[in-house]
Amino acid sequence: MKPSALRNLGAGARLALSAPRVLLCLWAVQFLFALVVAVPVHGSALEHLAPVAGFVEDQANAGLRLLPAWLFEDWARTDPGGLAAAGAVVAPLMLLASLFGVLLASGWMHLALDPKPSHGLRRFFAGAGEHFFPFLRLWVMALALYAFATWLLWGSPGGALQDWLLNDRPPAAAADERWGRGVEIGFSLVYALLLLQIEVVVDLARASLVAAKRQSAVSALLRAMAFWLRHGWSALKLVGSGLLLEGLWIGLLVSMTGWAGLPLWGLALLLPWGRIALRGARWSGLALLYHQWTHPAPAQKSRPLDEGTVWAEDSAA
Amino acid sequence: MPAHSPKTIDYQIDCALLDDHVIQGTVTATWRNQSDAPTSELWWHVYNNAFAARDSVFLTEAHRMQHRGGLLPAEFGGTEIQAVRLLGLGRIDFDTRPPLPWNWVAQAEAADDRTVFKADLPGPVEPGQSVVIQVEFQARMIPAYRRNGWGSDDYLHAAQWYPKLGVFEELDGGMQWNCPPYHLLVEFYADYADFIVRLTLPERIHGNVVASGEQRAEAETLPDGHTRHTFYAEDVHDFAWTVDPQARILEREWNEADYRDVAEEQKVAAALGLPVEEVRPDSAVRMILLLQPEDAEYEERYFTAIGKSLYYYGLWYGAYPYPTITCVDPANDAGRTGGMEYPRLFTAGVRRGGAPLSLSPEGVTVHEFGHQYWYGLVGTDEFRHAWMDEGFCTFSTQRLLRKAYPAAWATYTVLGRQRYGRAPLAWPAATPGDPRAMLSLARLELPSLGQLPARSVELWRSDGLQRFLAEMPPASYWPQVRQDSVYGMRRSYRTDFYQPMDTPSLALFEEDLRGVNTYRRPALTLETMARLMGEERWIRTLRAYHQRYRYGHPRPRDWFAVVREFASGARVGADLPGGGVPIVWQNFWDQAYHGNELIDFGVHRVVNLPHLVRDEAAPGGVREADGLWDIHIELRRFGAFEVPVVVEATFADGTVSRRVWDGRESTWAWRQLGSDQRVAQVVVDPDRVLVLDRNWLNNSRLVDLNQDFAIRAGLRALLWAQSVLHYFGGVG
Repeated sequence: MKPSALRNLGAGARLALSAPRVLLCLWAVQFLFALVVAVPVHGSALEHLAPVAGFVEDQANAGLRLLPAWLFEDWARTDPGGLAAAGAVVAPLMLLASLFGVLLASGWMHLALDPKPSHGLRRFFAGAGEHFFPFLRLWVMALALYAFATWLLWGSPGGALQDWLLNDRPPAAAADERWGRGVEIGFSLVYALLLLQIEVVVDLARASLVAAKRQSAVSALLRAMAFWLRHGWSALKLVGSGLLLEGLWIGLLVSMTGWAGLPLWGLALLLPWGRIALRGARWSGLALLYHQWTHPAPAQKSRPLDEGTVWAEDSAA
Repeated sequence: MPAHSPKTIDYQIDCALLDDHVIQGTVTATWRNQSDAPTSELWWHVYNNAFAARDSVFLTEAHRMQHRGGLLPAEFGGTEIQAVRLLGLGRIDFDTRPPLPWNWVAQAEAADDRTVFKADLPGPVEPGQSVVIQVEFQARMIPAYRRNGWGSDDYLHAAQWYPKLGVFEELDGGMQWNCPPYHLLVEFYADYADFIVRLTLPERIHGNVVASGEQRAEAETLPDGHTRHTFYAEDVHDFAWTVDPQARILEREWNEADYRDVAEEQKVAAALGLPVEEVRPDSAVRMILLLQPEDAEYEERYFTAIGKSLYYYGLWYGAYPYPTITCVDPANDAGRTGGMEYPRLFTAGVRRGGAPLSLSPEGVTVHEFGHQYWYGLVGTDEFRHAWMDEGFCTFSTQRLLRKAYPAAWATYTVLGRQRYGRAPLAWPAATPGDPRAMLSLARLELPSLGQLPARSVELWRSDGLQRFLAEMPPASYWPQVRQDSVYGMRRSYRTDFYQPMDTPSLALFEEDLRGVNTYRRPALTLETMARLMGEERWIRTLRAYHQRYRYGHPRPRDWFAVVREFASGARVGADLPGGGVPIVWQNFWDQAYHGNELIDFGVHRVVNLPHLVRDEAAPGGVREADGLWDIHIELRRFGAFEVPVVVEATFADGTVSRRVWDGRESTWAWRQLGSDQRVAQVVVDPDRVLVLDRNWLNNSRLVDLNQDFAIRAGLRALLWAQSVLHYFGGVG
């Protein structure tokens, strides 16, 4: 049977949800990372804004939803160091989060392709550790691919294309904002799709490392590209469906803050949980999909049941 | 209020638009010497020569200040003076039209600048006499770079396109021509004139032209298909025109009843002691809008903004005196011509996809219209006192927006559309050369490797879409942040005010400081003055200033004289027991205008201590009295600026008490012993009179802290960081 993207996404989701301790651990780690940013902001607000009576009327009018912009302006000036520090710490956290993501990808893919039916933390991190360094080499290559894509779109080639599209078009197009706006949005969309495609190819390369138990990042990337050329649509369908589900999860929770009165702390607890689970589902599903395409099960023999109305399948094993 | 200007000059300009954005023309100017001193020279601005060569004063400064990142105009242009002739001097007519000697005035900042020339007359023009002079010129306009220029598709905004006379006036203690070169950070200043402009346009323009004046007859179609338009503009000090064959030209008659604000009319009438009918601005004005086809959806918003501007400015300062007002919506690739004012014509601009509460194009329309009053009708010297038009105009703009529109909301942009929200934290900056950019995976900094120089490689670009995907604004942003138009100007306080407001505009150090010292700082100063003296006095003061100097060239001292005349007797806290503290305007002006002092009042400490009463039986001979408190409120003046200020204390039972602090000492204490109520909060300047106060957060103190906002701020930052880190967890 042809591997199904959606069925594998479902299998990945089942796997992620059947590993609650892993989810809880990842959620907690991400929460702790985010607290590094949030705590100084809260501290600064407590020091500089909690004693302020000047915007009480704004709070009373709108339950702290409609805030005056001057408050942020004065806050940023009153505590430039504190807020800047909170912002500055985000940069190293981005790098850490990206490296942590490498660890998670290897953990989820390892769980997905692990013949042992154990979904515990130990198996997860054992797998993560086992594949971490090949994954790290892939990560470096991925950064190079991102840089290449960025140069392609926003560097000389993209610049020349933009120049041609904007300046060498008929005058009527240049004078019309719709054209320029279309080019600008088009570049943004193409760039986002290009980044997504790189991410999917890199994930496929990861899956190939885990599935084939290999170490070479270069050959994994080549295998992934070959896979992409043959089954790219299937991979894209899986990843796209996963992202769609993630978008629906975000939309549901955000809308619940409006009509169901979901408090902010509820959002802070639930939102990452769903997103982490769905990303786990995507990575697991992709590994399963890759494995099924590249290690197809021997053809199953089938025979009609005696009644002749239903087909029964025999395991080939 | 004068009905007409002094009409110092008559301009008659015959010109034609040729191919390649070239204007061939002849200016015939009659200049009347209305001063008390003779002169044998005529000084002329040729602003368009700022773009004739790389080494003009303008482009030299643009390079020094890295205007637009140091980008030069895509093409050079400039104006060639082909002939200067004398037609008449005093009572003598020169039928032979003899050529006059003239020369470019060398400038210290750039020796080859050709933005000013001087024509030498054969004899002096005595006070009361006139001189008639003719200048032939050919102006090549450049692609839109700053304020004027062309776009594709035959769009051309012709501003500063003709040689224009300087102003002969008292300057630095003597009579001289006020005619400096075209500087990057200044705009324009000239004498009032009557214009007749005969403009011949090629057939391809289809007669699609708007201008500073009105046409009193249909355009004439010439045998070669060209059209000739004659525009008349009286009592103006400049003339601009725009052609765009693709644009739509829409016209509507203005009717004040469509915009009437009865409460505001009554307020103004009461302040002036006049019947409402006398202050109601009721004049016949035709609103003209040159609109780009793709901006059709903004037609109503443009007209409404113009209509409201005609109404409120007219109500506050006196009716708009001209028969037309024209607004130009610039072509997409000539946006640099937008947001600029000329008499009876201004350019605005809008980006598609704007959220309704971002107030675009309303903000720019109201502002540029405002220059009809502050620049057009009150013609101040923008070379030296640019704040006198930009500051008054910004002040009026913010007041009008506050009066006639809902407050704007903070927005972000994704895929070309604005949405409401404000990020709880700033995205980490990742500029080339900064190794920290690597930490945010934005850039890779490669060190120099032998033959290869150091390189900065962009790994990832956070354009609007990527930022959206990473930050997830619907979940993490503050959803509703109101940008009050007046308080929004407080963003000026990000900039160090290192040059006082009285610094001549052409001596400002940098562009950022122009934005502060010319626009927002004076507007905040005027707003503070208005609140200090009270609305009634303010209405009288500003209206008197406008009407006294309509068609005039007031200086800062003239404005301040009006303030002293109309605002004397104003007191801070006049309604409080004791009658408050008088405002000494000279002190205020010395600090706000000539000085660089900052206003910053703050609460230092607020405590409720148990009141002690004598009780021999108690240990130490005193005991705490039940239900009685000693209240200690201690305030500080952190800035050097001294001005009286009201202080308000709110007690636990909700009662409110106010006092006035004269603001002279650096500290001030309000102590109340044996009060039966604890104080709950203290606010310095509770009515937000001092918008010049640099820090409002220290102006108040709640005794019991309000932690709600801090918790929410922390949670927003948490959500934001979770989103960003989740996104980066999937990168690579």
